[in-house]
Amino acid sequence: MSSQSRSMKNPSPLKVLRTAINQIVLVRVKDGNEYIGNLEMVDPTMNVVLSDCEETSSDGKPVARYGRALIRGSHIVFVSVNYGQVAPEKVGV
Amino acid sequence: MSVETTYKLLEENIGKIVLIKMKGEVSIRGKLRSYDQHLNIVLEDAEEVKGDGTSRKLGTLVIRGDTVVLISPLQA
Repeated sequence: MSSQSRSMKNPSPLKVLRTAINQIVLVRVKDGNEYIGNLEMVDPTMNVVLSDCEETSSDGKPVARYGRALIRGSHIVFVSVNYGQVAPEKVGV
Repeated sequence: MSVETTYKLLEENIGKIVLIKMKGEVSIRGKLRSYDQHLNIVLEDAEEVKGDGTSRKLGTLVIRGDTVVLISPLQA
């Protein structure tokens, strides 16, 4: 398979992140906290902007809510790009 | 050259189930979809595997490369 057709079938991590714009995502950061919200923007360093964002601590307890929040890419561990479908009960539709 | 051989392990396991250990006692299992030069990784149908053996479904995951410690294929 050519490298081009492979990248069409298996888009790079940052492209996958970009396809999740306007969807509900979960972002885990290095201190263990998690942020669930609507993904507004992504940049090439993985900085993300979430709207209607809820912060939970590592044991799952709600910590805070933000109308809009920018999370620094270097602080991210992982992003679940389809969390709205995986755990609809957690995102309060 | 050695870069080619290490990334070959990832290339060979695209579409297969892998285990990823990250800094801070976090392990994730899922189907490898793609990766880039930073070792950022996309896993499909990913589950976080906790220390007590329980797991939590996370769907499609984009993992940031700088926290990755180990990547191991779980099927031949």
